[in-house]
Amino acid sequence: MPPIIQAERLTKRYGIHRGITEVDLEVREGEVFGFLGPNGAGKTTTIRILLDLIRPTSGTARVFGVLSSGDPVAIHRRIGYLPGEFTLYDRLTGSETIEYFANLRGGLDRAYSKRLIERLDLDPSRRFSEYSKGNKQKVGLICALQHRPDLLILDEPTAGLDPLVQQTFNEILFEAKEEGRTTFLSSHIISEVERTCDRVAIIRAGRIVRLDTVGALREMAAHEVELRFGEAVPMALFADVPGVTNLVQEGRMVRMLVTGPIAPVVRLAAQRDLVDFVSREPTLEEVFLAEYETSGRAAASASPVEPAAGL
Amino acid sequence: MGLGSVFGKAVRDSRGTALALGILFAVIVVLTTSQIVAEFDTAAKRALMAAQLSALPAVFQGMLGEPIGIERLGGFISWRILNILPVMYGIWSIVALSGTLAGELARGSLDVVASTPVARRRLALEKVGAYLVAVAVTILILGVWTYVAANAFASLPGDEVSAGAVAGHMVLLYLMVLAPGAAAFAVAPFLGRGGAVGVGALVLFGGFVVSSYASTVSVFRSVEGASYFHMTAAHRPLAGAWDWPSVGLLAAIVGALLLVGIEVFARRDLLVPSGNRLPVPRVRLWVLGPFSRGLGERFPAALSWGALLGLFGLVIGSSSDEFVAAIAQIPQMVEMVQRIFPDADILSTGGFLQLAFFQEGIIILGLAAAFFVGGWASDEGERRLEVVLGTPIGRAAWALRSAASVQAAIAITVAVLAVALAAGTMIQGDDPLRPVIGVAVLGLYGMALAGIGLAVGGLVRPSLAGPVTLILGLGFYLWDLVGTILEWPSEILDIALNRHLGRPMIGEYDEAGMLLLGAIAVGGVILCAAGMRRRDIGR
Repeated sequence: MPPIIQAERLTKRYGIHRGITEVDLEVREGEVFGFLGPNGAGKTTTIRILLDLIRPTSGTARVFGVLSSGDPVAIHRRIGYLPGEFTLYDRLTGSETIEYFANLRGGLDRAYSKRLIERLDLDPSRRFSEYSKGNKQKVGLICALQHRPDLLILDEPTAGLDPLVQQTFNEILFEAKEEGRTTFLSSHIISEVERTCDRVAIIRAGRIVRLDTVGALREMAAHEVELRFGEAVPMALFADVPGVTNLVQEGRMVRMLVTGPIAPVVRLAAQRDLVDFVSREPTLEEVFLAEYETSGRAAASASPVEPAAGL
Repeated sequence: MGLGSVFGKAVRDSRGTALALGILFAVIVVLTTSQIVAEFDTAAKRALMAAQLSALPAVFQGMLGEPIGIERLGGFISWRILNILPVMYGIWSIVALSGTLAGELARGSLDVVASTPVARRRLALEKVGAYLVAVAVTILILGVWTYVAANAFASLPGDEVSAGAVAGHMVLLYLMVLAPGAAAFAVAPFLGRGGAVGVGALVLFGGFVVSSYASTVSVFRSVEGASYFHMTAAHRPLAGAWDWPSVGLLAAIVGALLLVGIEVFARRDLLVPSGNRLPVPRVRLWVLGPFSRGLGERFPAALSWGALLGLFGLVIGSSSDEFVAAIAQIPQMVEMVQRIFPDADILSTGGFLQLAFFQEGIIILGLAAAFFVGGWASDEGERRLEVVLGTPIGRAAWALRSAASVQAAIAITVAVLAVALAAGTMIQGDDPLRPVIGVAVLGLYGMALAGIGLAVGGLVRPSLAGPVTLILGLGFYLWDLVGTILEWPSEILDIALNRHLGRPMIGEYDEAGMLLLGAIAVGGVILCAAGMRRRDIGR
């Protein structure tokens, strides 16, 4: 099955400033794909190229197999897009705004948009300028969702939403997934990505540094292991085990970080008077931070720091 | 000037504009002064020129006001150049002072500033203070170069001007630039930025037009006392005329308006005023697509611009009999006018409108075009366009339709104006056809300006679209004004688009010019679409 989104060596430069560099991505049909990175990493630049709002300096981006700059209208017909930062028309009410964007897509499914309005608890009679930040976000979400697009491209979709509405939004995402639709979710809220996404790409300084399932990413990260023995055990016992770092001994307790298979540590510990064994799986947040720390150090030692992209 | 305070940042933000505007008028003063001295190099020539210009009825003197002491260099500079400055730079004052607090409030950035440990009154004081400094810099540059030019080029006795006279004149200009902005600033907390701009524009253009044509239009005579142009008309230190009490009164009014604005800002909630917009029927038609939405957004403003200009046209049109009767009694004047407009029936409503209305119409249509183009550009600048282009509408299709809505808004402005002008003409029992055609030509000019702005916005970047339209609207007028004085060759003068309008109110049409304007209006929209197709969105 061809990927819904395919980016190959996608590069964008803004004069002397970095945008993104040789980004390779594949988003499969029906998955919720998380795009994780801090501010200025290149998430929005990537999305804007996918939508042909900006053109790549080099490389290609295809959505539904169509070159993004070749026939953007054909792509836009099948997507719903919520930008990370947007305003709409101050003089239009919420319902007029929703109707306007429905008209741009060829018509309004009143029943479905009404259902979305109810679920997201929006008062559509007020002018856009009078809405709070969260309510503006709801209007944007409804505009993106109301035509049941095959692909949702959402940039920081839950910004400004209260927890109850966030929960409703997550339900809507799961429903979309059940219906076989695809979601590309850009965020820097790691818990959100962890909760909703099947696969995640981590972007740093314009480059993809990791791309895998949430589970696999967790596996790759170090487990925090705590071993309690009946008697003091020399810490050096574990020093040579592959993947073990940050060894600390406190009396009869040994703590360490284990990257990769944990079985060698377990086997070694079992040969001693092991009283208790605790292994904590890392959260995606820890994976993310560790990844940033590692790749940040590598980048710092490899080359001078590039200027911030500002995007 | 740095970012250490609200005042410092505000000065920093406006320093470029202040310097540019000061230098622009300084250059005009220097060029004009050098040319006048060369052309009228004897006392006899000067006296003849002064006598001829002073003999013109008020309608011919029009926007420049009464010529005072124009046989001397200082008087001529004051009359021909500096009298128009309060109008040109009054627009800057309105835009800046209406937006310094209300605009920032609408953008949301004022909440952040107001949450710092700076009291609201002080915040407003610092912002206003910074603008007062910016205007002072502009006027200071102009004053220094006026003094230098007048004394360097002085060739006849009495041409030299004293530093005191220049300073006295500059104080007047300073206050006149601030006056409409101060009015806008005072009402901005109640009306929001849009309403404040409207009030400022009314004070500026209303005051200017009333003062300029009070001697010709009887309706204006009863209200001319309210015009600050009329109030200070006798204070022209460069021409040797002083009237400090009127300047003092204007200073008191400006100061009071600014204080009202500061005090009201300090006391009221920091909320964008709502409910003051022109009531417009909310029909579904407005949300059908980019054209209808754009037109819907611009419709109230188009009506307002049309009504503002139409009111002026109605008064002028309905006063034409009075003018014709007055001028018919002076055979020499009729002869002179017929020399200027051969083969034209100048003693008609159309002739009067051509003289008294058309030039002002050119400036105001230019401003309206800049306003509409600026609104169009904000769709991209404020990132609404990104959401729109996420739908199945191509960039070029959006550009064509939204740009067409700008041109349609100008057409609505012109239609409202045409109705008012036709009504004024028919009151006099005259045929409204020529004035209506004349208004259509003005509309074509506005659309051509908008076309250029849209093309720049599409091809280069949206943030340039509005300013380019505004600069061209005012620039063409100044180009024509200064070029005519300096007797530039016609090939150079004709760069100004407003020289290709003919004299349509009296039936003199410049067909080639109209074709050119039409081509620019349409071509600009097409270029805009072509530009939008190829460049990155959101620059």
